[in-house]
Amino acid sequence: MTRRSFFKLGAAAATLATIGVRKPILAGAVELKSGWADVSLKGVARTAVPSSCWQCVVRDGIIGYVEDGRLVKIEGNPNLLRTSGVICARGQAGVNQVYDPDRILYPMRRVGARGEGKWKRITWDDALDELTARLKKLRDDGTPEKFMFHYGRMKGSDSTIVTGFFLPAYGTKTIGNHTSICEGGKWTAQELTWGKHYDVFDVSRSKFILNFGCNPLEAHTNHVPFAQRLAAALGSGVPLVTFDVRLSNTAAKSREWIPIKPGTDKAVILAMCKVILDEGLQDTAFIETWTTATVEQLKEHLKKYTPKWAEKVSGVPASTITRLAKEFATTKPSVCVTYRGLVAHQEGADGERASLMLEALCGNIDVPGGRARAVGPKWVNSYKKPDAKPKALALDHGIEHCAYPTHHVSHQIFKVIKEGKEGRPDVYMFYCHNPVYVNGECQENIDVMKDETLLPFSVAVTPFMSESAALADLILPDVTYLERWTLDDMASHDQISEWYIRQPIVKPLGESRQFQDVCIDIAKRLGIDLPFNSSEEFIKDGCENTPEIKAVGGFEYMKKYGAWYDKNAKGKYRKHEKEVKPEDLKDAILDEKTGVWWKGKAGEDYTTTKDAFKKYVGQKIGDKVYVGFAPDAVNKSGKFEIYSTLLKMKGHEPMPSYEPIAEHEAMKEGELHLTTFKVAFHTQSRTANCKWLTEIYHDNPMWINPKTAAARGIANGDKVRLKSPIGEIVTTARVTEGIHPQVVAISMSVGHWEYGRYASGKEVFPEVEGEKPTWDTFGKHPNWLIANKADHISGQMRWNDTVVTVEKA
Amino acid sequence: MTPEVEEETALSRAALYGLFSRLYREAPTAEILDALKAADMELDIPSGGQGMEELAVEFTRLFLGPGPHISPYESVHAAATGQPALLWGPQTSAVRRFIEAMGLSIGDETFIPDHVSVEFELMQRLVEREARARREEDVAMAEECLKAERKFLSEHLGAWFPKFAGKVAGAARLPFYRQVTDLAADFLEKEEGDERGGI
Repeated sequence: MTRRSFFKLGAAAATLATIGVRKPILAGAVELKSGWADVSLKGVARTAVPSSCWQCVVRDGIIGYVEDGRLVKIEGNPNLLRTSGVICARGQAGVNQVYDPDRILYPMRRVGARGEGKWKRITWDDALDELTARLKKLRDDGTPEKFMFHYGRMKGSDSTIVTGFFLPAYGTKTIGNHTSICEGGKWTAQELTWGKHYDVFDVSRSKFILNFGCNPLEAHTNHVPFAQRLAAALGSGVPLVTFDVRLSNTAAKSREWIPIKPGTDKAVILAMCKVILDEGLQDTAFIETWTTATVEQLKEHLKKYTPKWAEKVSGVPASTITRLAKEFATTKPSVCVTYRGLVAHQEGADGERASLMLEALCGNIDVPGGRARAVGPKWVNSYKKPDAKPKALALDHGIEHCAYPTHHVSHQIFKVIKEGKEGRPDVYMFYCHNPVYVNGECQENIDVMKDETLLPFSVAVTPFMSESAALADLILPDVTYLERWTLDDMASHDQISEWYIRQPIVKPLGESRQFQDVCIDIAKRLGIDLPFNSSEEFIKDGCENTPEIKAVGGFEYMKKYGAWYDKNAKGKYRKHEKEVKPEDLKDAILDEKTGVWWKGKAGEDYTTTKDAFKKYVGQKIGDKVYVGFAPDAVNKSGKFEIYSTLLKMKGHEPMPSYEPIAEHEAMKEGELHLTTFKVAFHTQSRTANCKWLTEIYHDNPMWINPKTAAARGIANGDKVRLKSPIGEIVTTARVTEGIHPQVVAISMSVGHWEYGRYASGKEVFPEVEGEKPTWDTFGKHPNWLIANKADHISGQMRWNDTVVTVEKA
Repeated sequence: MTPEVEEETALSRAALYGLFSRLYREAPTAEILDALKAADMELDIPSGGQGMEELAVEFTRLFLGPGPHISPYESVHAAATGQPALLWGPQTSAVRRFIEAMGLSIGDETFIPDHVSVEFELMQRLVEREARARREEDVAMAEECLKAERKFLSEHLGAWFPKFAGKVAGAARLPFYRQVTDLAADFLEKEEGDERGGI
């Protein structure tokens, strides 16, 4: 290019100064003060902003350090009792979320075919005009339920604003979540047994810890609070015994790791219960007073579950079962930790119920050092909730007739939509959710999301181009959690309520907007009046109207310190033993069959009346009425229901019972179990874009036992092909003694094909020219192989019932 | 050179910086495309509504993601060894300090300071100030502006743009942004090479 050509171009460009003038990005006029040339950074203050993590559901208290407008570091906030200033690797890598180089900073509209990857930037106005026109039409047509909102992670006030105000005011209750792929089965089991879900393993005060299929030192729904207390317990010599198909890092830190055949933990638990009763080690008073079974009934029920029988089923020696049962029952207080290893199976909720029965037999229920019922904070806002009767499409109950899917069957929503019997959403909006990647049967998920006859219009609300967002029609750029306002509310690990907030550490980047503010905007455009104008206003209102927080200084206090709890408070245990005040029994009637006092009409049967649990007042025990194990989601009594009438009514065993898993019974010679697991450096799906984390953990070879590998001619590092009835993948083998010979295991979190350069490997490494790439493998996602099946009690995703063949590729 | 010629040269340079700033800021408008056509630079400029749409899609793909993950930010391309390529790196805050040292600030906060468009606009504003100084025969000020331009080019825009340009060239599906980016790279190279600091 010659000087002349540049002049010509320059002259042409100069004409632009007079046409189509755009507002400049830079404000002010150039003014060069003396000393301008020294622009180095010196003596800059670091500002500390307390907030709340959101890499995973645990939401630890954090402090973000901002230097020269830049978030440079995240640490734990010591003002929280839950976390005491500790956060995990994921939490520290939050910096990589807000500054992900592949973040979506502007609204985008699909151009061309779905999933083709052609997008164009549009304005927020254009995006919301299109969306609200569609929403308005549905509302005007009297079918607001055809607007489906499907969320992955949404907690605290983020949830209240959307599902408590915006969606009901609009008129839809077609709301999907993602709990069935997490721990829905645990929650349903608890709701059937002791009422409101969520348990706390009170390991700070335990003397003996039994663990079935949980890996809390690496990941957990209350990870850092749990892991730090567990680490302290282990440090002070408290024994931990872990049953797991895999030598997890928690198993490695246990006194004993007991490898077990997948899906047979319940057999061991039932046999332990039998041993405890046979030895007379049970807490008879608790059983007879508070549960729906007597010692005699339990003995009768459990008599077939001998340790010898359990040995045959599970591969765990009968002597080990007997020894551990006695130790568990006699080393008080003790606690039995459970998670997906126990629950993510056919009848997995019954496994959780079996574990609760084991705790109840030993009197461990809601006592210090035992299995506690969670305590959380209660935020109070001044706003009146919309007086609305929203409608819903029944898309969240799955396709398998689950008895009590109280936390939905989210992994089957696409199957239900495909079937079409329950109708289909005209507008499908998904928020902080990546259904294509996080559920099983990835290919079917892709096919449904691509099909415009099944989902005519889909909207992704996300800061990142996930596998699902790539198949959307419209992308609304959400902020990351470090640019967000939320009233937060996670369960305590000491039974003491703790209030904390999330506040923006930095301003939202680009045109990203907090989704809750977008909801307020959409409502305005639809002429719907919400009683607040911004999420910040909502958070301020909560801080000013929650008595405990108002008393210490309200919003200003929370912005400064991030969290508050009563330092003189004592942990709340044995909450069921609280008596109901006589005046509260006014207008209540006694249901003779269950002993429940409730506000039903005379002649109504408590157990079979729809939503009777909402009118529960108390439980009659002897001649007193107690708060008891109050129901929360189903019509259970106020007793601890080892015997469940509700399960019996639906054709399930009323007491925890063993039934072999169908797929396992049908296994042929040479077939293996596939299980999945999480690692300390990632969440299930939302962290592979974090460079610091993926640099540490970016590959997930298949764990296989040396014996199993040798039989197939597989050596460590070999390429292997896994096949299931759903699909096949090729990955590499990691030959290790740390896994049961009948099992192979593949971790979650990596193997993305979207989600930015670090997750997908799409950008060419190295980042620095001429240097070797730091890593060049990106893992293989196991979900291509796993069926979206559900536990028939709860609807829980059966992650661990997959059968595969493995061969050298 | 007479002050008039010097002023004219500077204005022409400023206009070019302005042009590139706009080309990387958003998908091109019809006016920009008309001006480019008028310059007769042998650019492949698609015509009509469909052509504009194709360019908008290409712009989104190359500079907003999703696509080849090029990223239009200095901090992503200029990360030092061992430092991750992220938004808002140390370079970003250095660019912002530079902008502020020039008496300017980020007026449109939806832009991150080291966005390629912002960096071109900063150069445009500096060269415009230089042009005014030339017209006013304020030699000291003109030299000071020139010093600032050269410093910013060597420490920032000129340092990372070639790497960015290479990625754009490799990933472009339509010739337009490859050609425009070649032009910009060529222009910056001349700017950096010229003793007087310009074309």
